[in-house]
Amino acid sequence: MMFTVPMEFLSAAILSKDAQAVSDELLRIGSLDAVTVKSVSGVRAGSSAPGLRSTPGKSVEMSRIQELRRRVEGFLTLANPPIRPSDPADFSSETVPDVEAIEKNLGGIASEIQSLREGQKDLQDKLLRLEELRRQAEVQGSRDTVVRLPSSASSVLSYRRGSVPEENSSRFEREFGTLAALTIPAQSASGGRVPMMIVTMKRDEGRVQALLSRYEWEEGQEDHSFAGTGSEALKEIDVRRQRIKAQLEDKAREFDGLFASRGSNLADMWASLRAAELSMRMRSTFVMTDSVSFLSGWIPASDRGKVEEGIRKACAGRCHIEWLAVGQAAPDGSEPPVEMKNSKGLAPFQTLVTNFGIPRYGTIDPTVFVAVAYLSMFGLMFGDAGHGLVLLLAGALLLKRAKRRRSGDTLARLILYCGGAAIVAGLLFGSVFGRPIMPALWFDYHGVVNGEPSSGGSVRDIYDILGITIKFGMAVLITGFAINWVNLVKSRRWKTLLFDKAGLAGGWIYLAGAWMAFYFVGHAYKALPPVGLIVPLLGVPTILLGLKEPIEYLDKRKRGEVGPMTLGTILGFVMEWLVGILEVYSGYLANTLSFMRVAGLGIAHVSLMTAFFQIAAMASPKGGLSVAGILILVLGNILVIALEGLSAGIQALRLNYYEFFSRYFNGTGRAYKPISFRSAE
Amino acid sequence: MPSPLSEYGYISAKLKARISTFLSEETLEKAAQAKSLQEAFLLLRGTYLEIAESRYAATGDLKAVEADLASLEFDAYSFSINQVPEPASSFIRAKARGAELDLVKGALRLWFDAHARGRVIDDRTGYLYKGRSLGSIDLGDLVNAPTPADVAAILAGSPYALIVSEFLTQAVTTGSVFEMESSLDREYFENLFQSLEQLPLRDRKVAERFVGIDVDIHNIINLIRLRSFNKIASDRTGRYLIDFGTAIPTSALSQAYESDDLSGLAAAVLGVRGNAMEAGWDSRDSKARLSSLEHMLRRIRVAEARKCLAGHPFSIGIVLAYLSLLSEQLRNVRTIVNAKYFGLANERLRSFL
Repeated sequence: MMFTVPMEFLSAAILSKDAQAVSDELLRIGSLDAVTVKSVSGVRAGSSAPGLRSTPGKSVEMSRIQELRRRVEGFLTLANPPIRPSDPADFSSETVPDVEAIEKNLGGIASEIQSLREGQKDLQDKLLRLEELRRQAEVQGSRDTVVRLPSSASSVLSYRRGSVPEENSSRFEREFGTLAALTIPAQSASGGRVPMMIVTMKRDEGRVQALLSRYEWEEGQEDHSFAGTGSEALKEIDVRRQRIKAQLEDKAREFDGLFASRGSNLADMWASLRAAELSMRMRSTFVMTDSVSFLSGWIPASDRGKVEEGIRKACAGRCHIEWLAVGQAAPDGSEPPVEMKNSKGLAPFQTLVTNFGIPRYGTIDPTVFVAVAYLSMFGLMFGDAGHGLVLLLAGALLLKRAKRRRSGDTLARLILYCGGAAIVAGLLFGSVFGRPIMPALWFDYHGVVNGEPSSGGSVRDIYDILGITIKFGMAVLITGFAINWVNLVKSRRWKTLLFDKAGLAGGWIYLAGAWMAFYFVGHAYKALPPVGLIVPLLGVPTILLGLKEPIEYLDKRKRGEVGPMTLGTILGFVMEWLVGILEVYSGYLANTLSFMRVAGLGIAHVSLMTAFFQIAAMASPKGGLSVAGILILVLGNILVIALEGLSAGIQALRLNYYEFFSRYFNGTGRAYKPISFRSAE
Repeated sequence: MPSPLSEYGYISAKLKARISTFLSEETLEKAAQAKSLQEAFLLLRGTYLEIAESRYAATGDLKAVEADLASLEFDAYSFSINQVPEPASSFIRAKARGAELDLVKGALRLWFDAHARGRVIDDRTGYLYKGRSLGSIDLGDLVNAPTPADVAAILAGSPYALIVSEFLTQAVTTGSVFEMESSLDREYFENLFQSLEQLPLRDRKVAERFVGIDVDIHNIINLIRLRSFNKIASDRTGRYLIDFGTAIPTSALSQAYESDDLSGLAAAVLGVRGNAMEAGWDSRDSKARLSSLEHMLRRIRVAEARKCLAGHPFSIGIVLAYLSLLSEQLRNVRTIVNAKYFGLANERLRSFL
């Protein structure tokens, strides 16, 4: 869209008994950027719409609904994959969510989660004990040796072989499970006793002795069938660790299962809370008396019919609706909000614009221009088809990942487009991974930078490249001027259009200056245009610049905003004029020359690749490319893609924000934020 | 001679970038108000403490989370040491020994519990620091050492070996590690003061303020311990309190120990007589008042850190500010998650933050 979306101001008076139905309908349509009318006679102070009533006499505060909604959102993110609830298909604010029940429900879920976590912790404790045992067993190097009893004096582990009565064996094992210990019972009992090997930490000797005594442990005989070596212990530790890890995975599945079963319930809760919250927010912008309610706000002009029909239907025609024409001021003096409607493909560039500021309402939406300028600048600075292909693939991968995670894809798209721009530029300059391996569609950038004689093209040396970027910069700046003029015409600010430094006077000076510069260059830097031409060409607009302040002063004087003219006032005009001249002449020159960085970065790109190829050649003395040479080239390409890519991206942004936007951009707009299920908060 | 810009330019930018990723007051407040432990952890997702949330999700183990946070703080010191030139690097290394000492003291307490008190420590040894920043000290070996001499041998080559070999046997006999820990603390502070003296004047002035607050906090905590657990005779309190030029005078500390009159302490901390702004000051309980003073000192340290961040960017102040703010933030996070785990009421939780 060329301009920001046209808005109309809606004012409506309805019966208070219809407020709920009208509010629901407006929420369903989702177009109203509500404005609370602050002064309506007969309205009691503080008489905004009351909170929702879930039970007679019991009002629910919006803050509580919001808090619950956020809690539900938190739980939804715990699910694997996270659950993204959808807006309620059919809702009515008559159906008030039972916040007590929801709170109880959420408390139940929190308790279940806590219980699962406790189970995980218990397993984790067991795992940590086994891991400590394992670490100590490994340190002792007992993997391949038969352990001699009693345990080695230097070991921190105690190994014992013996037996316990069969009836005590399970309790015995359970008790030892609370220590960093391992009990390995034999497969079968013998003589009413279960042979066992126990591995314990010597630091727990006191507790171990107490347990051995309690459960009638008898130290083992050498001729026991149960072997029990250090390696057996390690093997058993590993088996048990695997078992615990499997149990931990079961716990994770149980956790996922909790949300699988509760997911739709949570989603429904979210939808009802969200509907209630937005409904309350909508009605909080109404101003009500006992019988009549007033609502107002901005709506895109294209939605006018839909909104009016919706309001009339909701209140069965019991309403009075007024629309202010586009351009008329709102009763509260507010500016219309700004909606920028661009295709999804332009979303990254719209983000670049809104990051700087919201354009003023009614001005040109610069998104398309930023897209063209940004990509052109990037291409000129990063003109290599091979490197561009890498960026394209990186952008595509990031985009795929963003889609999978259902997260923002702005950066991914931007990288994708920059890759495309770099490929196009690479084809124009005949550069692929730093080599001019294909004929350039425009000129051989590498050849020009490296001083190789060209074959009759118009671009023969670095100065020609600089000239291209300066001309490109001039085109960008002139576009900025043109946008500014269109905006000023649309807003009928004729005096600013004529006399401002970014208006016709400033543009005239810029174009005249540009023509003179080309004249000077064209005459081998030896001659300027005749004085008879310079004086009118530059003199007239320079004088026009000086008229701006006096004319504005006279306007203010007519409106009674300023007093009579004094010497100080005249001196002020002169100072403003002189500063304005300085800004125009030196500032515009600086802005134009600033675009030389585009050439600089492009030249740096080529030079870096040339250097890497030379280093690779030096590393391949026998000719061709050695392994070292290939490695140098690969690393060099990676470095150039990373460094130059980042530099080019940042410099393109800077040129847009500073050189381009400063011609026309007025970031005083207010973003359009309708109360809608689609709004972020 | 290198300029402060060349010495601190990189680390200043790096640490300020790290500080910008810290949790905001709003996030901490939301975490404190969370209705359950899991919901408090959810707020850490997408932040630099995401590892804590992941650890809790994987293990359900709060102690493992705390161990991770302790490692994070310790690693921050290790990072800072490598980024600044001498003599600032030595000072930071000396300060890092405080974090190292906490890890070693923790391991010594476990050893004491197991070998002197006969308690089972198997549920706690899994959380011992296993990183490489402690040099040759293996805390796992330490807790399993059979005798105090073996413990000292494990600590050989470290500043702790001598003190441990002198005091650990005595601790087993007396049933308290307080003497040993106090000696370790004293040794730490003496070493810190020595390295403080080596700093150039501008850095020294900044560092003195931070060290002064650290000393005050240490003394207040020790005062609480002395009054609550150890019942030491008042003429012997001096050996457990650190004397440092800018800190609360030990005379005020001794006075506070002997009686319930904490006005001297309050005056030293607040710079005014009588008035105290903290909740808990009106309490008759002197322990609550001392805790309140400790809380005030922590806030003063945070304010000092913020002042450094707003001031001259090329000095040791940036590093100390980062470490102080990180320490305070991790402490708050630990407090919040433990409060949620134990079901502490919000008002009570706030008194600890």
